[in-house]
Amino acid sequence: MAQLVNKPLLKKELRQALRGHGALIAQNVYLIAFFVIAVAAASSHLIFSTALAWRAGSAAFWAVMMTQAVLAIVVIPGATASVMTTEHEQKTYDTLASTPLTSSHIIWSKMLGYFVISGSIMVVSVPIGAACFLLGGVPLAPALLSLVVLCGAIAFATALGVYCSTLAKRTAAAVPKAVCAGLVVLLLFGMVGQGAPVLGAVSPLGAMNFLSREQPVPVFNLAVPVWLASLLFWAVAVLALAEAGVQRIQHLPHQRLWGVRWRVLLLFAMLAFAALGSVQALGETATPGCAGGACCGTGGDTDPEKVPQALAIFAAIIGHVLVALVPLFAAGLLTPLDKRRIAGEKTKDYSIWERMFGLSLDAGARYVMLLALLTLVIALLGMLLWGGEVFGDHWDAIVLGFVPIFAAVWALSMGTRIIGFCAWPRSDFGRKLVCVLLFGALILVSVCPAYVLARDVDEPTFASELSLTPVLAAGVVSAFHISLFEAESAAMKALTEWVPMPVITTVLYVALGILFLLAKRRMRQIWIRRQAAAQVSPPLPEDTHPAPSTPDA
Amino acid sequence: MIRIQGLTVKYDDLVAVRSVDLHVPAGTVFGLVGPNGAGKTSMMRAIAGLLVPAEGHCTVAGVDVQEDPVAVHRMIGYMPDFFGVYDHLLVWEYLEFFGELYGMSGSSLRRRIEEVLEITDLQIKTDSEIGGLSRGMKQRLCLARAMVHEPQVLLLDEPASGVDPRGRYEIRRLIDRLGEIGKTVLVSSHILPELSDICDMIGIMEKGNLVAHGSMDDIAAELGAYRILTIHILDSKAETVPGVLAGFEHLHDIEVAGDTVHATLTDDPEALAELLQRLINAGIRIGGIQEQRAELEDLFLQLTRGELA
Repeated sequence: MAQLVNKPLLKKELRQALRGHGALIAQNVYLIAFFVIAVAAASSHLIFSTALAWRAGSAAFWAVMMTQAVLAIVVIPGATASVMTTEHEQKTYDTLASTPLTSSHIIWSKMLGYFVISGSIMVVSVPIGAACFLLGGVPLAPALLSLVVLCGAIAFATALGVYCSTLAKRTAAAVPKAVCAGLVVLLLFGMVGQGAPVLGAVSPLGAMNFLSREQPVPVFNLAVPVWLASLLFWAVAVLALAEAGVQRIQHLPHQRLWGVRWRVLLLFAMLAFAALGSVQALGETATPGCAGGACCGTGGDTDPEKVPQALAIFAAIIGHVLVALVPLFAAGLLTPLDKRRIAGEKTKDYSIWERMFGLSLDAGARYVMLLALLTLVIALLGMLLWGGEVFGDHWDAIVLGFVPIFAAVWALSMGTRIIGFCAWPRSDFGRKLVCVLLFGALILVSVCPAYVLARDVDEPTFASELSLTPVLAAGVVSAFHISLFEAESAAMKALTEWVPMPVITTVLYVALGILFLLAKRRMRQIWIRRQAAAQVSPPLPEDTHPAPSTPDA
Repeated sequence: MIRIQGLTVKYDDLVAVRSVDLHVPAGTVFGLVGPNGAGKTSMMRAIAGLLVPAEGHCTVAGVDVQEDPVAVHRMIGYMPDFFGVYDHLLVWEYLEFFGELYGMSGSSLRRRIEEVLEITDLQIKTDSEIGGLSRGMKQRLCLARAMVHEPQVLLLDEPASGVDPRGRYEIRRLIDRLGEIGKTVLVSSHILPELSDICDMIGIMEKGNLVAHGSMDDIAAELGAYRILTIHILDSKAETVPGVLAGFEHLHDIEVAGDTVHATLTDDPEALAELLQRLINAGIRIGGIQEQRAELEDLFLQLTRGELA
């Protein structure tokens, strides 16, 4: 570590970040917020009886720790996403790169610097946590170990932010990526972890939950201390992210593919883990005493009937994430193909792949589509491996469940490109914000009918879990609920007798996509006509991905 | 000290530097001249190891930049054209940071910081926050930063761009001083008069090509350069001079204004001697003669044929 971290650079980062009033204000606001959270959590018990003070103490302590864990994963990546981009924006990167510092020095020193800074902000809440001891109910060992877990989460979040900062040259482009990545991690580990204790245990929230119950986490029939499992997992993630960051700045802007490969590998490791965790957790017999009523690794037999349900949960969550990511990735983008068309190139020159994907999806959305396709493969493989006869019964539902997701992704992608052609708002960040707001509203509208339908299904908890998550397209909910859980609702039965719900949803989204496509073409024509009228070369709307720097060529 | 062989730099399809060969001897102040977009910055960045050349390689003091960039970075002080500074640091902190990056510490570093602040005339700003400095001061601070580790080679990319005339003068004086103390300096600029006075050697770049390099005299001789003569003629015989010099092959242009004759002559001492001999033989008395050598700007325009980017 001493060889990786450069002391002067670490000192400089700390000096820069902690100078001025910003850090002091942030720490005080943070402290006040946590004081309010702790008091609120404690008072919910105290108002009933002072005899429950120990419960109040426990509730307040774990409320503070869990909130910090959530904030660490969501806020820190965004806050640290500027560490490399500001070097580019301040034009200090070349100066730094012309010193004897290596890429590893730069990444590790910045990572450690911001880990210390993030940690120091979180440390201010320790006195509040300590105050909970006065009320009782907080065993010392789990309390201290929860700090260890929190440190692991902070280290991971910092690494994620620093890595995201190597993906762009502008802070405005890096921050949404980092926040998005933090949310994905939280969704994957938090939500899937509800059904999969192995996965949930390594996530900060899950680990805190296990620690508060003083339970070990069962991993492959071994009872592993939860803090150790969590730390090991995050340590591997930090190493992977740091190495990816080093690769990025070594090769920027010459070889971008390395960064993409690393990202895809990392995300798919997580997705595969999530899929297996879901299947394993729900597919095995529940053992009394385990958190959430489902336990894994205890030697129970696989229940084939629950495999599709596990896959349904997994697919639904991935669907949520994918549909939520599209606007962020795609907003304001003009694809390289669009630029080539505007430059006068003929469509016949495009390759078959460009015709299939390039003209309808931008680079970001294609990336998301790739994730969706591979997720489908993982789900189908899971069916083959664990499903047995179930595969034969339900493959149509699984496949049909994904079709609406693809349709939704496509429709949303087309819609975002309209905003790209409008070039309004003018900033990249503004366009993304508008896209997220617009499509958030659209998805809410599409989720509402799904929720109404799902409400009548036999398993209300499962239905509400799926429906309340922010962006599940109607297709997934309806497909899985109707096909797998055989709803008794007369209205739904009547509807599905005529046309299966996935088909209805798909048709709706395809229609929406075509509408967006036509609108986009129309806007492009208007735009080109205006440019021709002005007799100026068309200035292309800003690309989300930073162009390679071409200094005084 | 700096040797470049077959250097080609490309940005996708754009060729920024085309197969350049160059040798800058130790202790030389070498000026790289060219319009914006000529490839000066790309060449500097390649020497500093900040970009990977498509072809060719650069060595600094015999060390290949691509093979051992860290060793090269220890030997060079690089000042980019669009430089940046850390606004929240104090001046001494900034210099201390870079000094420590090069392995300096303690009293030797403090002494060196004082020296470079004195050279760049920034002593009174030692404890000031960088964000509060003027652009010219920041530029000088950046130059101080490039010198703090006493590098053998300084790569200064447009060091005087964007500063006021006094700032430009000070930076020119500073580079001159660096040359005097034996540093190898590679300095680029698109403002030609800036370099002509301070550089031992000049390289002229256009569209990625190094069209000429060497001392001013060498380039002038290579181009068959000329000198402009202003001759004062006595006895009101100036009008007869064009007739006397008619057919003189080294004379390019002649113009009479009162008692003064302006003539453009090949830059060759023999040509001047022969011209004077012809005038004396014709009984024309000369009251005085002034000559003006071709400036860098003239050479540049002659070489690039006016094809400015």
